[in-house]
Amino acid sequence: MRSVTPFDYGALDDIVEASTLGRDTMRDAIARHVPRSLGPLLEYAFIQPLHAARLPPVDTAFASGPASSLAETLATPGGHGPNRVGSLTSLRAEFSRIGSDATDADGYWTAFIKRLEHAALQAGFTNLCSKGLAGAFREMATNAVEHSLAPSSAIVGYRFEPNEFEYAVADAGVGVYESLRRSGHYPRIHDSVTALVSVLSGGHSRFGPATGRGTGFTTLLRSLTSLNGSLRFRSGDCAIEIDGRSPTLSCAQPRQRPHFQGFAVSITCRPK
Amino acid sequence: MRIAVRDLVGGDDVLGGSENGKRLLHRLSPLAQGGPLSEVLYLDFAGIDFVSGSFLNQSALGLRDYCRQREPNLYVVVANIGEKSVQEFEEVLRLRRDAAFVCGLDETGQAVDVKLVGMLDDAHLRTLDAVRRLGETDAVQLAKAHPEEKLEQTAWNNRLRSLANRGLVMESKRGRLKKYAAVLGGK
Repeated sequence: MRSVTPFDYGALDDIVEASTLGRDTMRDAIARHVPRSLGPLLEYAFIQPLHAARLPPVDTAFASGPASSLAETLATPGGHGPNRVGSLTSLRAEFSRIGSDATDADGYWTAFIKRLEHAALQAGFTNLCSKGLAGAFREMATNAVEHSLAPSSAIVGYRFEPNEFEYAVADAGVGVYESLRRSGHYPRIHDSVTALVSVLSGGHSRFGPATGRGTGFTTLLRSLTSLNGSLRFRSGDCAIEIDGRSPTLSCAQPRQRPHFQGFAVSITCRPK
Repeated sequence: MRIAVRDLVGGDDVLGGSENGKRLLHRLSPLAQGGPLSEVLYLDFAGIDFVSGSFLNQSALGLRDYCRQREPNLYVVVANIGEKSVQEFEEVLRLRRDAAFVCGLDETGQAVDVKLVGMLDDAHLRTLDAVRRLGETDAVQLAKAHPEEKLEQTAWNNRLRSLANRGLVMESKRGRLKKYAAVLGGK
């Protein structure tokens, strides 16, 4: 019987790295993995087009409900109008094209965020924590609309199970480094690592420092105070992972990875 | 004057994102209409469980700055935000090197639990404290009451104007004189 392992970030990074090095054994390697969390799956879906010669599309790579649902959402045009939803009864998860309060005439986006908040409650978080997590999610989703320059490319998702809640946001926009570089406010930032660390530290965005802007990531970190969290931020050739209780930037581990066009973030947290 | 934010956000109780804050500001601006006398406009977040720094930056501080320009008799104070939201507000204010009052509102609509959050340098903090102690005052009185500061009247006026721009002291005219009183927490 073939062994099956969870498709986590370690597996994702190995597979993409191998593809970058020109290895052709990816399909077998991918088939041994089962998606359990949304973040690696979403990141795979966004990076796969750059490796189309060796990496199959997400629904072909992973014969599972989550992957099919994500593929369905990817195939849905973004922007205005009704957004289709992929629901995953087995994992209790949901993907969606990103919405906007500005164009939310039918209340779809507000309802999505309410379901996300409710999912955090069902995972075992307190009402106050769930509100904080939903607020931080709003910040990440708004970032994709405001900063990516490609809001229609963005996809969001959440997943819950007893004692674990996850949400993820990804876009195929300009990416963090390019966003800061184009602003002209950060002439000393020359790579994705310093760009990511700058925005994660708070107060930095394409609008420049000392404007009160760029606080979304610190809102996110505050929402995880007293919780156990695993975070991953991905943009350009950098991935930053933070693990632990009340995660902070001081625990961040930047790693060089193959290029990711745009930005992706995933947060997995546990109440205890 | 009091504006209930909950009535303007479609019943949403988690508010976040700069663009959403700007959208609220567009709804707030027409409602901010002052009269001939200086007064406090309480931006009441009762019923909102969480509001992010980004949202407050665009909505509350945006309204404050709008009032300074267009409705100079209105002084915006954020009311009834929870502890986590105060932390959010604190961060935004510190990044802007700015300060603001936050408070609760009792059943009669009076401010309770007044706090100054954000960043105020020592000179402006001393000035604010002096205004709060003296009640209504002016640059001439402050210069006489605090000779240790060794400031001329013009310098006191500059500090007072800076505090007024932050919505921390109210300015009113008595003939040719400008009088100042703390927006909250004064005599």
